[in-house]
Amino acid sequence: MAEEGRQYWIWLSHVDGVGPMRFKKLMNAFDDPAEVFRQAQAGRSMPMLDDATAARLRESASVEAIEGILCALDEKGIRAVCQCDPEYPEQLLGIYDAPLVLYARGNVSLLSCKRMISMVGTRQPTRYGEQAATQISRGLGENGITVVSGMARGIDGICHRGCLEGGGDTIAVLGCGVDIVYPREQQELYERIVDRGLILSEYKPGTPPAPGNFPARNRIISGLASGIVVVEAGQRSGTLFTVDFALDQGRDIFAVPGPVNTPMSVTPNNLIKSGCQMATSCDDILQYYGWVRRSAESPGTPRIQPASREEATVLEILEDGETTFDRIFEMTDFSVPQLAAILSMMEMKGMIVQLPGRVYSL
Amino acid sequence: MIAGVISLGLSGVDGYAVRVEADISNGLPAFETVGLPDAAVKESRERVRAALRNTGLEFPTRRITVNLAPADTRKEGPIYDLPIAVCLLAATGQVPPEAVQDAAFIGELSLDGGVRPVSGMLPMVIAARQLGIERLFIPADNAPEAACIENIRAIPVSSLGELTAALRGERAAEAVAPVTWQALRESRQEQSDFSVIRGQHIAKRALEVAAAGGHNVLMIGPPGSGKTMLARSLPSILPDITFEEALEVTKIHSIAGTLPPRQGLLTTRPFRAPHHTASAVSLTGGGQRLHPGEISLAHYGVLFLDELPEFERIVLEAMRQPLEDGHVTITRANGSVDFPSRFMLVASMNPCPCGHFGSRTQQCACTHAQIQRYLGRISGPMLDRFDIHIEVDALEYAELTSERDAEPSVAIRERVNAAREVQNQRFRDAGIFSNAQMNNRHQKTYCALDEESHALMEQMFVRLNLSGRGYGRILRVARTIADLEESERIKSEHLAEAVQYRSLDRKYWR
Repeated sequence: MAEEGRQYWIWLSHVDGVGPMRFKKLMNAFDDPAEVFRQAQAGRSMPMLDDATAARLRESASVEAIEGILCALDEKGIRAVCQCDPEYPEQLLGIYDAPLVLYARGNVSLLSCKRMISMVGTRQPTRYGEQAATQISRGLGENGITVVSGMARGIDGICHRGCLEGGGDTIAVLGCGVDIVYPREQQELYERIVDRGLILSEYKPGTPPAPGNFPARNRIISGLASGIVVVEAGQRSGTLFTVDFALDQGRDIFAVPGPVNTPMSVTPNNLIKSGCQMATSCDDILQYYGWVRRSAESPGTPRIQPASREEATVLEILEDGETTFDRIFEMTDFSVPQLAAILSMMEMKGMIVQLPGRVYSL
Repeated sequence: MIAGVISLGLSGVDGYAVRVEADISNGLPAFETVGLPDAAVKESRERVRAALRNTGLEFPTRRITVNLAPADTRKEGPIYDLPIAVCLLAATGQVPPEAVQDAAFIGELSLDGGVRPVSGMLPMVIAARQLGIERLFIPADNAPEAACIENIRAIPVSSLGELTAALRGERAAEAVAPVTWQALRESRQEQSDFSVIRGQHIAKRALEVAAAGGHNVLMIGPPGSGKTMLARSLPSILPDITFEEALEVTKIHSIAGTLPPRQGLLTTRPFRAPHHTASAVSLTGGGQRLHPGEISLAHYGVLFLDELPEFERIVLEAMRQPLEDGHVTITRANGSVDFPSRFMLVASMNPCPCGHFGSRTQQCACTHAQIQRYLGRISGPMLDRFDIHIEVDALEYAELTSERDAEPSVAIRERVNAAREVQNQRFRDAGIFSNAQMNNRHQKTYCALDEESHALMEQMFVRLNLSGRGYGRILRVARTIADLEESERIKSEHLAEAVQYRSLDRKYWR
């Protein structure tokens, strides 16, 4: 490990009430976390802190306590990356209130990625938003860009999945300890990310998902990346926090335009109006940064060629947009059983997908 | 002075003989009824007294004891009014005792001497025929029910006066003319035809498959998408009911008193749609008089549960076992009866509490947790009872004005009948009737897949994220689709179609 005394960083980040701001005050006074530890151990007063925090600091300042913390981290397989470590991402270090320590599960080397893009959006996307998010995140993944998001329901989770599908790396920044899966239904995604990507949090392991944590973690999501992509967000969405952070941190903002008649398009469309970059595919992002495309194909996944005249007919109808079973039936002269069989086979080949409400889409 | 006549009683769906005896002796005027009568039977003395007097007959003012044998079973309802009155008339010599000898009587009296209809006529007529009773006097309004049974003289009477005249030989006693099954069948009317439903092509096809194989169906769709209409039209494509089935079904409805007036045998399969506030007892049967519940009234027909998640869980769970067994045994302190309950379960539900999940036109306002909780109201084992899930979406204008002709129910029913015939042949020795009843062993024998289909099935599970639970159900439904096409083998296109009817197995629902 890099620097002597990194255990003192970890210790400090474990003390309740010590965040980036108080840490700065402590550094102004003592220069070094190890020095803070010695002062606290000696029971000195800490005028720059409030009494409660100072008391907690003094109470926990023991060699045994630090050993306990390190052992617990080891047991859970959690890595701690301190500001003093070389792995600590440079981008993040540059922000005003960079976290002292990042707790991580998974592939820590991803932190040194130079090409990172954050993707954020609503927890209740429309089908359009889901498709746009999938398309862009998959494209980024295919081109070796690391996608950062918050593993929430909706757009967040979709972007992680899309990136993994595209064969890319993805980082999830949580608002709780890295050992806690929140929301619960993302268990499967969580495991996939631990396996192939990185789970990150500034909160010590075991921290429950308190509502106040989430806006704060958004600064890490925007801080890690070169730019953020807003897919769908309502008028008063939490996504706006992330946009504000990104502006403060000097990150680029891309917005994916949405249909003008759905409430979820309000924020991205407003962002475009006020001069943000518009992104309609991952190419827009790649070009902006001058990153080279890895593959020469047209955007999106390669189409599978229809194997028969029937499949070609159905594909042609679906080119015009998603459609229900009954509509396809009306537009063709297949019988119901025939069409059902054709659609099943096409689904199986991955040419089309079925959505709730018996809607089919490319 | 003593006289006795035969009458009948009901135990479950079967009738049995009851001997009604009256003894008139000297003593203080009194009227005592023994033989475990219920309140309605006890009250019959008031009706008998008034009816006799208002018909111009004499009610003996002496000590009267009426016994209903066998004395250890409970007698229920007003059906003994008529036999008690006849006993009194015979005992006092107002009608010749030999005229009532081998005759049986069933009927309720009104105070003016009229004879009113009773429920449970059909099973009692059937029992009377088995008991070898030669003449059976019944209320005139019950005549259509009795007309379906051959080889018994059922004589309809509309008043006590008419009956005494017949017994005295002053008037000819005419038996009801038997009506043939064929004639009854022709009078069949459909309430709702498939040809009037616009669009909903896949839903209609799924119902056709369900009708052909007897599969239970779950319809999922937003409010106003036409789930109820589809379900109500289902009886019009169900396979024709046979005489034996009609007899069995009518018996149950006869007991419950739910037969339409002036109708003998039911000629269409029953369609029952209890409201979601139904109690467990009303659904499975029971109550003080051990009545058949909705699941028995839907025997050989359709039980439609609209808004399935709104039903109380305990009610749904109570239905599970009869659904599997095809009959329900209701046991209470005062007895136990067995009712058949071989019905097709059709249920409908919204996809989420607000109803718009998956809708193309409306935004769903429910959170993920709300949707999960809503779907969670139906237990896994209950969901497992549904072979076919259909998603029904609200129609667009273009679909309402669709050009493609909708098939009339008759044409669909023909195919369904043919498919049922194939199943009857196949399952002759297996002890089941339809594909829906197949268990694992049957599936091995009758749903063998060739190599190509086998490979397809495997691929489908991987690619379409199907749950393991669905395997057997897809096989069964594919078997029915093959039967509809008169194909001996289950081909890959049959499997591919069957997959379309398993919406809830798909990942986006979980």
